[in-house]
Amino acid sequence: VAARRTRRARLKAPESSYADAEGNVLTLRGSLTPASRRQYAETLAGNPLSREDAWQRAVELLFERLVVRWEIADEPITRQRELLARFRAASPEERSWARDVLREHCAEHFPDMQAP
Amino acid sequence: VTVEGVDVVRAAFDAFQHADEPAMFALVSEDVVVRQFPDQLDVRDYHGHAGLREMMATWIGTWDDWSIELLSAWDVAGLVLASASQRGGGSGSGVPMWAEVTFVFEVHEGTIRRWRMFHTEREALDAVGADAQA
Repeated sequence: VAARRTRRARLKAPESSYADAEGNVLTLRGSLTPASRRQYAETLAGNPLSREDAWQRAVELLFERLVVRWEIADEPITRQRELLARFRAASPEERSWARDVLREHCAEHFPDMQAP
Repeated sequence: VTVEGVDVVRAAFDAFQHADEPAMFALVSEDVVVRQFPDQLDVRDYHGHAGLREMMATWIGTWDDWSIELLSAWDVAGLVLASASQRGGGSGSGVPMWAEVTFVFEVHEGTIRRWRMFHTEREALDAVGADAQA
């Protein structure tokens, strides 16, 4: 008897893409696990000695968990380690834009979460 | 500290640029504490020469053809602030990266004892100011 294989299609949350004025595109996934939400809330509440650092770390966490692709000058970055490194090396303007994108994306997809 | 501290930092950068690792590490205390950007999710202290090597390998290994250039170094309240520009290409994507970074060094008896990194000069100065108030 031939083994019967069933292939189950994996549900995938829709992705959203956001472009800046220069045509660079950030693509974010439309789902966030309960564990990531919890970690985000804890990070945001974080270090009472530096609210700014806590907020920035929460932004970085969201970037790490949500961004799946960053296309810069038509060249895509998709590996997570490189995405995060590129964010850390981003200019103040790029970081500000990425934060705005995360804020907009969260308002759209996760309205119950505190915006970054 | 001051001029001497600035000179130590400049010499350390110069040694790094010339790929003279022993000369660079001779200017870094064996007890050095290194910290990357304070807003990093995984921020932590790296201790000693081994820690510094680990931190550098992790960051530099992310990029192809990574390089750094010291733009200026100056004394602030007994610490040394150094502004530098770094560039490279993503090791997977090849996407070019160019970024400025500001370091804060504490130099003691001719060696770097503490080494911190910030995205901007403003953030570095704020941290130095917070140190002074603490």
